[in-house]
Amino acid sequence: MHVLLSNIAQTFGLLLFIIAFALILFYALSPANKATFSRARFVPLDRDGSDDDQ
Amino acid sequence: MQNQTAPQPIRESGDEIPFLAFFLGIGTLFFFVIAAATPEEAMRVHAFLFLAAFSAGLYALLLHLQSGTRPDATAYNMGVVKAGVFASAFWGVAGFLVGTLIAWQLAFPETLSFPSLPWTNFSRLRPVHTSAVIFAFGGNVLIATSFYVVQRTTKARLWGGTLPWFVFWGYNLFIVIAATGYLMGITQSREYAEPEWYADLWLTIVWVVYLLVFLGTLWKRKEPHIYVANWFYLAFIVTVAMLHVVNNLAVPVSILESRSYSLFSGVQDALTQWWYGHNAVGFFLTAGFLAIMYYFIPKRVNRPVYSYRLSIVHFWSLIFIYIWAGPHHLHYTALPQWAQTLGMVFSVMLWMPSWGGMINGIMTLSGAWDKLRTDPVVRMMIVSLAFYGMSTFEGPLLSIRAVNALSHYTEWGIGHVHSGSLGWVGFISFGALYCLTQWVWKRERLYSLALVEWHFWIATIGILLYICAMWVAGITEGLQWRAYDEFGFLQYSFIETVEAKHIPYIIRATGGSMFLIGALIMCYNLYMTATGRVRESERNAAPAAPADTVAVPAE
Repeated sequence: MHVLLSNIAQTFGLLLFIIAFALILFYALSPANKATFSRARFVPLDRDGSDDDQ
Repeated sequence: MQNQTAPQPIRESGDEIPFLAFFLGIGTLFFFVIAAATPEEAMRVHAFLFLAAFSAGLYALLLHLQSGTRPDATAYNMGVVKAGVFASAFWGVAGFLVGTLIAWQLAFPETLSFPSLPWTNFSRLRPVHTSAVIFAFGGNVLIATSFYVVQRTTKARLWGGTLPWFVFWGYNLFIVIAATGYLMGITQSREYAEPEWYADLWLTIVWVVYLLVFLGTLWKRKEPHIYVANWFYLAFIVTVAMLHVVNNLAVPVSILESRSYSLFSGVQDALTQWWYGHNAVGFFLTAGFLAIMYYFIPKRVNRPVYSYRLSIVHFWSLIFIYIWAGPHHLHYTALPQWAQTLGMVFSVMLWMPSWGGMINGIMTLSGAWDKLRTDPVVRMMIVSLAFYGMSTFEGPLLSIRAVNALSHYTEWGIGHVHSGSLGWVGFISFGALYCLTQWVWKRERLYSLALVEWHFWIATIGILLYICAMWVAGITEGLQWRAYDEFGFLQYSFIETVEAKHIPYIIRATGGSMFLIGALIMCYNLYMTATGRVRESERNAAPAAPADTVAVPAE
């Protein structure tokens, strides 16, 4: 088990984590998503006139 | 909602009611049989508790059907949030009270020991304390806030009709079963997972319904983007489900008895337990409460979160890294060293997303720092982030093997846990409860901001007393345990290292008592706010945070 796990960790495991992190950074920083995120920031503050909670 | 313009509101279908009724009916019969057949006194008590709860549930369902009312399917379901606020306040006080009691027991073990009352023993009350504060208080805060936040950020009513109520009552039934079990001596001896197999199965059912309600609400959302707070809630719900199921895999001795045997043994058992234990910290006590941070701080200060991009990187890096950190609980044990090192490295890496999140929360106040002075609720939530930053710095430090050699099994660990739980989880929850009470009961202001100030200062000083006392006690006993005399013998007997902690124990119990007093002040304030009162001397002051304010335009 140890050999298997350390093989994974020392070969594509590390690579997988780096790629995953790069994808997350790309998703977060991509200019294409700028507009979505700029709007999303305001979601908690939005008012839709439906404050009459039940 | 604006009913004037919609004379025929869409009513909830109530499709789930027959299934729920069938389930509760079968359950009632089942526990009737168990209660009659079990040879075990404690199990009979639990069977009767289940029986009472299930029949009460059936009766409530019957009343609901009889009344013939169907709630407006386009309006938010805030009733279950109100119940959650009440349950959180109740369990918070209960949990802090038991914690304070056992803290005094440790300070004065002879005076506060009652051998004729076994349920007052430290070993039974300790899990009552931990489960009450983490799962009863924290869990109810998370359920209440998640039900509030997911509705407000998706602009959709909670999915499932009466199912959110099933989640609320079912979860609290689990708490009652767990706590009464500990008092009667039922435990499977897994830290933070003490309830036995039948309570675990019940929680699994409740938790799956919770997940369905949350997902169902996201599914029918009217806001296209899923706000980041919901991601944190979802990670919390999904991961806790996984942890709970795997760690509690066990075979009961019999369906009529409480005892069970774990599927794991030896070091695999230890690793599974601490994979669970540390991720209970990571996903129950961190991810869920970060969701609170990402909604309640922006909403309360009326500013968008400092950086939405940072929140995304924060989310993914936190959940990817946390899941590996558990082995740091098993340094210098039979666990292979490579696994210990793995846990240590991931714990150190965890420092970065933790502080990224803390900075994101605190910087949300950019341009509104004056609120720290004018709104004690905001101050409470920001100080909770300061405690979060402190304990997530201390955590990686303690996970380093060489530091752990000194700190492990000492009071330092207890101090670390409480700076996180009292400071971070406690304060962000109190902030959320103050906000929720004001918003859900639609009050323009809290009953008294002066009482929030009192709560804040009494509790903060209490926490500082607590953690400083535990640092002193922990490092003292850690050093004593490893002290040798000139002949190579241990310098101190074990009882001498216990005696050395007497004064710190008294200071700790004092700090804990102050935290409890603060919570009692909060309960009074919340009750007065919910009933619509404003303190006479504060009536003419401007509210610190208006009930609802106009959003500032986008950049």
